[in-house]
Amino acid sequence: MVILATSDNEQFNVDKEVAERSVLIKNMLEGENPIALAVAFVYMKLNGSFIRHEDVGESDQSIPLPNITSPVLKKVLEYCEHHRGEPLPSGDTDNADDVRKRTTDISEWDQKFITVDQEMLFEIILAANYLDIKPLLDVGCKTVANMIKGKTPEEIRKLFNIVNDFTPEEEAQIKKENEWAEDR
Amino acid sequence: LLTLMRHSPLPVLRNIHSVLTPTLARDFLTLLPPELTSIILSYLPYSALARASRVSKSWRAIIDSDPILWQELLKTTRIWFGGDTERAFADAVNARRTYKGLPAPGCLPLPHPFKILFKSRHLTRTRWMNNNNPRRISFAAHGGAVVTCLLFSHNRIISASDDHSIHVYCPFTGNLLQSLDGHEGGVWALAATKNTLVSGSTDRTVRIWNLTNGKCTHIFGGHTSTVRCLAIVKPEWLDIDIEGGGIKRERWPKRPMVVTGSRDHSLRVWKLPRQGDPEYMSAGANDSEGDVGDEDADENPYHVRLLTGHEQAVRALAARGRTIVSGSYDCTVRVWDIITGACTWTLTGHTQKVYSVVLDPVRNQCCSGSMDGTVRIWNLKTGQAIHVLHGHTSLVGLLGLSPTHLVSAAADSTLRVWDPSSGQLRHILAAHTGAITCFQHDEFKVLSGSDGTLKMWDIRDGTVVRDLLTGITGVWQVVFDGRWCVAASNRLDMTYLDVWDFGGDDD
Repeated sequence: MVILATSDNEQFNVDKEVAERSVLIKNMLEGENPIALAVAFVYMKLNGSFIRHEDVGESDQSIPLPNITSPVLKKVLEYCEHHRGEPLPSGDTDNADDVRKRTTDISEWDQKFITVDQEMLFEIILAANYLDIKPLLDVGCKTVANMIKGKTPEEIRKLFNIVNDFTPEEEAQIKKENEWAEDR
Repeated sequence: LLTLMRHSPLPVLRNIHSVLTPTLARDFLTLLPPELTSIILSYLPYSALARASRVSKSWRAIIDSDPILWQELLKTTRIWFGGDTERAFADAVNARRTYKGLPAPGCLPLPHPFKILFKSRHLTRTRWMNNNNPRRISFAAHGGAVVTCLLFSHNRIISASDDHSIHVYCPFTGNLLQSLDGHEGGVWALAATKNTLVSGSTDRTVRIWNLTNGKCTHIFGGHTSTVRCLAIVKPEWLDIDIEGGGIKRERWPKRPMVVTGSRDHSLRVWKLPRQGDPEYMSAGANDSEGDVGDEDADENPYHVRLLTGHEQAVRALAARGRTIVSGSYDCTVRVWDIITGACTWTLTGHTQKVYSVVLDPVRNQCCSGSMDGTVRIWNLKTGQAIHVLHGHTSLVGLLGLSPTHLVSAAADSTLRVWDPSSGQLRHILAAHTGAITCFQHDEFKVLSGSDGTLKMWDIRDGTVVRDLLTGITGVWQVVFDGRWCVAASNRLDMTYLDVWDFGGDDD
């Protein structure tokens, strides 16, 4: 078991296999990645727990996650639990990038999982990036992309609560400038 | 709170919802770190990106100024050509903006040139390949005579003919705008830059025309036989190797030049007169006493030099920077330095007359097509043949080069698409039934004319997209430029020009 501690001082007992969906945590536990270790050590210092890095991975020591709150970590762990045992994406991203760009399809379970408010979605994306859980980061980013797709600028503004700061003249100008891309 | 809400009437809940929703909303693109924003944007098609760039100033800045985003989009839609083309485009856009002082103070920042490039290439491709019904006009031209040269330049159609005339037509109306008369023989070579036209004729003269008023301003004599090919050479920055290593950048030629090739075996280099330069009429040009062939070109202030060495007629030439390449009926290709006049290389290997040459400055090579049925690719640095392209079974009369495609057209009724770097054959375009009389290509398409049809091909897979003209006697010439396509063809012994407009309604 691995203990993860959130910024609001909650502790989560997690199966090692589940926690290791996070490449950050995996590397910390394996102690293979000196950079990850150094980073982890800095985080621990920030968090006030002065433990030697050799201790990381000991089951009775918690791994502090100083910029993740407990509701977000709970959600992230739900994702890791569901996808436990699946192969991790390989380091070779060239091919993966190609496939990734062609589709914003999200599997049914992930789709349901990511149906959350924008605040939570925002936090999940940040957490997935920080914990280095690439598939979850992709699900989050695809979800935002899908929210933008197929909408008019006004609909996008409304959805994300964005103020239109163009003057009417500027708005007319950029509308004209982008008319070529409208489906006809 | 939950109990309270359970007991609240619907209008109150709606009200709470309308207050709560905006507070839960997040402006993802501006609040997330840039590397995550990039991932999100990479999932969007161009149409969604164009709309999203209209949301707010910061969204526009994030989307429109991201070169990587648009570069990736160019690549995934397969309209990134590589070579020097994209950088050159961006440099040109930026230079124009600097020159014009854009963006003006207080105005919105301008999109990265790659977005503009994406728009341009995307529209060119979709409009040509998917537009089955472009606007088209047809009109008679040059009676029944052969159209020898056809240009589309600055919204002008310029056609030259065996009937001694050069005509300028409006592409929108088909109206004859100017008739440039004066040549005393068929016109067989033509080149234009903005408002200046250069022509060469069987009357042995080279003439310079002002296209703003249709006036002939200069007549250059010196060639003693037909002027068969010519090119305008504009100044451009070149990387020059310096002795002892290193590279310096120099601009050559120092001013625009004209190079002409003739059946008299020679080439000549001339200064291209600028608007307002003194007029010049060679001796004998306008009276019956003298003969332009006797003209002492040294007296002509625009004449720069005579290039001799070929032992037969010069049939084709290409010129860029300080390099001229000429192909001759003497079976050789010669490479000349435009500045010193030295013949850098005599490229031998073709066993019959050379009919076509193209210059490839990016790869520092040139290509030639010959009656011997081969295309040869030569290294300009070593003077060696790099590849001999076999396959055509008769005269290779026409060659064309775009950033990643070399196309040859032959009398064997086929065109062949080659990789200019490796010399590998990519496609054989075989659907015509007679010798290919004319063609032009770019990175998307090939337009080719032969007996009875004008065809458009997809250069990437070698298939026919559609026939633009059918049931005619022959196609003399075809050119395209941006949204426009022009063909000169012969039907029922009359010559016609057809003009297609593949542009959208908005430009």
